[in-house]
Amino acid sequence: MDRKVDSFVKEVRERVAKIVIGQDMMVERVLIALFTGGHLLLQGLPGLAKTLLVMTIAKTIDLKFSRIQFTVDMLPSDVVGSEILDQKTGEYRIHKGPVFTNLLLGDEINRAAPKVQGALLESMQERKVTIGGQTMKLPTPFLVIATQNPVEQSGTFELPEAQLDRFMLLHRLTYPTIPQEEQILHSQLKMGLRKEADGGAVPKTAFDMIDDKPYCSIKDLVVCMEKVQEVHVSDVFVKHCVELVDKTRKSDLLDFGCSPRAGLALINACRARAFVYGRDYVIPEDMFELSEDIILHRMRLSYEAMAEGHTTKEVLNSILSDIS
Amino acid sequence: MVSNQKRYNGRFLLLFALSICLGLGGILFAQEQPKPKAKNYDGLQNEDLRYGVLDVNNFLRNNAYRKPEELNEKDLFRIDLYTRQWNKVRDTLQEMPKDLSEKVYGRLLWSFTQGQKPYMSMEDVIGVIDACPCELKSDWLKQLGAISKAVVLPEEQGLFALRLEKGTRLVGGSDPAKKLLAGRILMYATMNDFAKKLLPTSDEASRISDQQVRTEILLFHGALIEVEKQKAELATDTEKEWNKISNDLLNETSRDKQEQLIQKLWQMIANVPAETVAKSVQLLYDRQPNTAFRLVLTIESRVIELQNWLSDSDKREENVKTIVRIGNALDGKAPFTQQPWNQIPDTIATIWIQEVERMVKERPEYEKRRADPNAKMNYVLPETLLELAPKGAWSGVLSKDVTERVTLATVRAMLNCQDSDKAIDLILDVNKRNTLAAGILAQAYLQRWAEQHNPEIPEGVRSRYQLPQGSAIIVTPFMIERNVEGLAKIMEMMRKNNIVPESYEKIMAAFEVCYGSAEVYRAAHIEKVFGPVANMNEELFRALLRSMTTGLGNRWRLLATQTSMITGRGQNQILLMVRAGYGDTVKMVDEWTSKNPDGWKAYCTAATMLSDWADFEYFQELGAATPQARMIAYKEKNSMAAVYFQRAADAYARTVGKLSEKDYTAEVYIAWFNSMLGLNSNGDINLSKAMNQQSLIQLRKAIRALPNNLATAHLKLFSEYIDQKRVDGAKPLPPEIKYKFVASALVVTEDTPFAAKSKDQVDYYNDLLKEVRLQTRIDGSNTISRKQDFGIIISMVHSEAMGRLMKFEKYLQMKAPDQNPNRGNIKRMDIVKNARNEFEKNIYESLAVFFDIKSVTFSPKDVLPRSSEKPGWQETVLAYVQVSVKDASVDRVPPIDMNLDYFDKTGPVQIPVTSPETLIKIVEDKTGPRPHRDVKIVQTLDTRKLFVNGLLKIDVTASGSGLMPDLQDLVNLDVMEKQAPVQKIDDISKGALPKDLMSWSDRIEVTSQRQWSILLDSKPIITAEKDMDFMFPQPRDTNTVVQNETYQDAELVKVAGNVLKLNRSKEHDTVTGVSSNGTVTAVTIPQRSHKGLWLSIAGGIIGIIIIVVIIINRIMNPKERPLRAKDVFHMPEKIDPFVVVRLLRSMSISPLVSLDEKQREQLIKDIQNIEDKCFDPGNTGIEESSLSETARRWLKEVC
Repeated sequence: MDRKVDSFVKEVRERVAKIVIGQDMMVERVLIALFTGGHLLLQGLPGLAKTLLVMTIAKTIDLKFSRIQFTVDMLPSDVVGSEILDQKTGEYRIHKGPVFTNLLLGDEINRAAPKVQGALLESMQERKVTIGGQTMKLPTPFLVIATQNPVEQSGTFELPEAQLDRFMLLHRLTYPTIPQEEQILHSQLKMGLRKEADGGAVPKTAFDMIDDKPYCSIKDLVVCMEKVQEVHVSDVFVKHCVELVDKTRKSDLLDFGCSPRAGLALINACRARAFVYGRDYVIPEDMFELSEDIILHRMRLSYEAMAEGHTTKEVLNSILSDIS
Repeated sequence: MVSNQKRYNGRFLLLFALSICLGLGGILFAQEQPKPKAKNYDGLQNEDLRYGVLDVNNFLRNNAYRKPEELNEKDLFRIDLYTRQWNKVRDTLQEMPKDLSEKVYGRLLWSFTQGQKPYMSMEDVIGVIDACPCELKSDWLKQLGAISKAVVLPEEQGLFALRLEKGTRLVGGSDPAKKLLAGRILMYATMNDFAKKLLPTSDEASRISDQQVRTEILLFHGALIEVEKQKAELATDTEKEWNKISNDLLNETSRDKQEQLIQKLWQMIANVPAETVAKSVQLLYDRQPNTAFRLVLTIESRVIELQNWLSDSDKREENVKTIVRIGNALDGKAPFTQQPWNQIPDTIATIWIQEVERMVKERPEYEKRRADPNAKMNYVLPETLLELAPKGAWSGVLSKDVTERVTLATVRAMLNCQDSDKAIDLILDVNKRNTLAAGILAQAYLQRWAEQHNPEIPEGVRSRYQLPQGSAIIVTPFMIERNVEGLAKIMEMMRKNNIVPESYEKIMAAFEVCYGSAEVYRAAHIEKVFGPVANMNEELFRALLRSMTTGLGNRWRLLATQTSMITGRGQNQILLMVRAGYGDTVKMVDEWTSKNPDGWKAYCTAATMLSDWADFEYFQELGAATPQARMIAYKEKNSMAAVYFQRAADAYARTVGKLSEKDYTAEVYIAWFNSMLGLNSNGDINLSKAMNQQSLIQLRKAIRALPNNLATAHLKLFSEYIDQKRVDGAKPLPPEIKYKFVASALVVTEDTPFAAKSKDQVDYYNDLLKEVRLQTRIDGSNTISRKQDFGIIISMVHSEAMGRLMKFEKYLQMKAPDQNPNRGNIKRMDIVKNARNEFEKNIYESLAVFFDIKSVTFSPKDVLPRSSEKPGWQETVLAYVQVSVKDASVDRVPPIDMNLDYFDKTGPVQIPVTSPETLIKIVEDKTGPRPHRDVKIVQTLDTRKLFVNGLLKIDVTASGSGLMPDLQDLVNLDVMEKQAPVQKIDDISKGALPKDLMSWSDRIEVTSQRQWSILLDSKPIITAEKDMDFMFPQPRDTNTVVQNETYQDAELVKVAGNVLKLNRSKEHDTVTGVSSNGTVTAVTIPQRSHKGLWLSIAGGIIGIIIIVVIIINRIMNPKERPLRAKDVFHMPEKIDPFVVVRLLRSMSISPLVSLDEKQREQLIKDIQNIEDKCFDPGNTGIEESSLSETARRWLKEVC
């Protein structure tokens, strides 16, 4: 077991690296979310292998995986499930929605109407769902990895701050570098065709390359989660963590700063990152690396700051450099 | 010895010198210490310090909640003054220089006697007296007398005199000088009887050295003697007569004559002093006990009779005195333990008890009106009654129950005295024998306490000063703390002694009083007064919840309440306070139910409150919030309410088995149901809550889940409530909610026989709907191209009778709103101004998900029904919606909702109708145009800029019935290919623009218009060497009417036929071909001018000059110096591992720092070293000095 746990991170990273090229940072964030039980929001344009990556991780850890492609005309019942009248028996039966899974990928969450977003975010918070008056617990672990397009795109419903706060991490995806992109194209060239049972064939995609055999189980994941809980956080680290959160509240450029939930998330995520890097203690590097993903979406610029052309990232960097 | 002495002297001298040094040092030190800044009260002696109710309130309104730093000494003094902090007033006066303090005190007294009557109580007058910073002067005594006269009511005079007699800080008591002062105040207050007791006698007064005082007192006595003489003369006649008859009775032996004499005495009792009567009875008993017995009985009967109707308080008091003093006079003489005398004490005590009861009953009423000069007191003062309470030996022989009643009455009398705290000991005593009675008395005590602390201005005062209803004095935070402290002590006492009050509402009333009406209860105060929430008695906890819910729902959130109570809170502060109040209440419920999981009533109250909170969050106008934020809060609270209702239902289900049938209640289910329908506990109605089938089913399941077949009984109770509410004439349901109410109830009750009436009503509504249906259909074919606009016709299909009955015009015209959408307590989330507005909103809500709605065209308001294909039926067209599909997956027109106004036996009602779905087929290929006819096209050729900038265009306008199709469907543009090819077609109107909807002909048609601008390639025309013919595009349909036009200079002229000759000329005014009917056949186009070319060249030169100037400017003003590492990296102020790592890390990644490979390696090594040693718990860390050194070293290297 221990050997498995020790090589857990390495194995996941290697497996993903075989399939997905150039998204090691995203793998790290997914692992942090998994180890801390937090939810992850990925922001970026389509085509950056989000689904592929999440599916690869799900298969590596033997997690149940579902995916929802959010659209404007979806209803809350499309997410959580609904009560259906069985016309043969005249009885109602529960149809469980895709939310009943371990790893849920919600693609383009900001395409959905607010009530649908609300239904998902409520289940993330409560970790249970009520359908037809019946309340059902969601399986554990339950992790939502949602993606959203940059909010200024048309046809999107921006997630309000209170709901964004439900996501432990908001990671902003970037395009791969030119060498990585070349590598992606080269690997696609070598994939060949997949022959179907009906005699036809389709070109293979990266999804066909995913190894179906899980490397470890939920039990191993739980052990990792326990290990994360044992990671040491020094007093001086906690002090500076609090200082960081506090400075966001006092900044003149911000309408509001971070809630205590942000501080908790930052500490937890730093512990998970330390574990990912094989340490049993956190270091300032962890905070600097994760603060953008954890803090940025919890701050809102004041009107004056926006008018002067400031950005939240710039404000955060200034706060980080002010930590003394 | 000598040496010792010397040594001793030496030591003494040393000590002496040291002490001198210390002393001098002390003096110097004291001199060096900055002296506290002297408080500045100058000018206070000239200020107006009047104490009328308006003066007090106006001052506090402006100053009570100002920041402390904004207040000066004088403001603070006045705050103390107007909040009746007399001790502080005195202390402040004593702080002032003597001269100033006397002037200020004098000013106070002068002000109090000016303007309105001072808004003070008797206690305040005593406070004013004792606030004097020095000896009371004669003038001040006169002013104090005048204040006392104005403030102290006649019935309080005895008590006031008693307080002065006992002594305060400055007057009264055993000191003769102080006693004289008290007497003089009473004398100046014209309380003569009481003043007489305290002032020296005439003889003593004649020895007073102060001539003025001496004269005043002697004159007073002289005047008093005169008055008493007059009184005595009046009294003696009846009293003499009484004494004469009494003497006769003493000597009379004949029983008949005795009876006659007793009857005479009977008639006189009311006008003879009590002392006289008692003395007569005593004398008679000594000589004729039996006759005395008969006389006592007669007097008792007469007193009982008189007390039944007498309203004069003095006479009532005299009667009670008479009867009590008879008892006292016979005490130790009459055999009260033997028959027949044994009934006398009980009767005397009963008369006294009845008088106490009368006082308890009448006093509150009188208190309310006491400021009214016409109000008369019709009861005996409690202080007097306590003086007359059964005390002598005769009271020891009272029967057991009368003794207990005397005790209870004594407590009640005490409670009505100024100092009601004295009653506590007696209540505790009663509690040992009779817990129930103690509970009732404790409640009375709380009620009295609440009265004494009630900030509301009494009705009489309020009306006299024309203050608004509910006006109250300001309850400052300090007062709240003090009130809470007081109430907490009482409650603690009650808890300790297990005294359970009869009703917890009174306790809550007392608690409310503590706060005034503008403050949300604080959790800490609740715990202080009532103890830990989890340990609260259920009834008390519910009373608390009810009080919180009512306060939050009706009072605290109102700006008017906060303004009238002068709390100084802004809207945002009110919002925060109310939210905190709601949050605290929910927390309390959680805390309480954690220990009382079956407390369904608490859950139910909390759920109802959460439902109110949800609406508050949405509709509140106190703070700015986006609609989205409002909606989130609204939904969150409603979801919480649903959870709490479910918990309430579960808890009730657990307890219902223990209840008897008469205690069954549908309270939880009714509250839940009302919450679902938006009927809030505070009377507000939220019309926007949709009928939620799922929640209703949840409610039904909750009832059905009741154990032991109790569901039927509860469904019956629920149905009874629905029936009662359905036909409630006094408070009818709004028409918008009636149908929803009954239909929703039926979802809960299903086919229970108890719900038959509701079912009949819904059936009736459904029957109506069989005769009127809302319908949608497509204008033209149901097969529609993906990008094509098409029309949806919305109409009502109805029987002829319904057509006459229903008024459809209200859905078609934008008239002024029939009623305010948020009328009174009825609110809705969407702002719907009138029926048409609502109809339009419904159309958009239903269709906008699937279609892009381009326009909605309503029929004219006087639209007439058309005949329908079905005999006896008609169709009234309401609207025409021009749409295009959002994507190819759309396969139907979704249902559209509409509310139809109707009138049934219970009044107006709105019945919702829904159109059935209409199927459509969306194809990617282009289909034919949508139905259109009678098309008229106007084509305008614009050549005005042809030789200016080469612009040549044709503006095309098409209008007619139906939605105008695309340009290519209307005209053939092929003809343009040779003469001026089409470059671009601009759909100016972005599709057809419907204008009118007509349904009176055999067809339903919308008239529309559409405009295009066709940009043509002008090269062939410009380059042509000679004049040429221009042919306009031809219509595809021969029935289309075409009108061609062009411009002659700025004039628009019609073109004859399809061809226009374009003449070329260098002259401006050349001949144009004009035919006889005013149309043209040719136009002249002026040649290109070179003016534009020269302008372009000039513009270019100016542009080059500007660029050159910019470049020179750049060269002359080079950019600022680039940043260097030493501008960015500095030594941190505080050194810890985190900060040093941050600094080194920043250096390692900064582009400003250039390090060679070796340095970089060393830097990374240093970072890792700090991280390992300082963050790994296994290591011991690094000294701060070492960290500092590392940071300094690297700063030196990189900077």
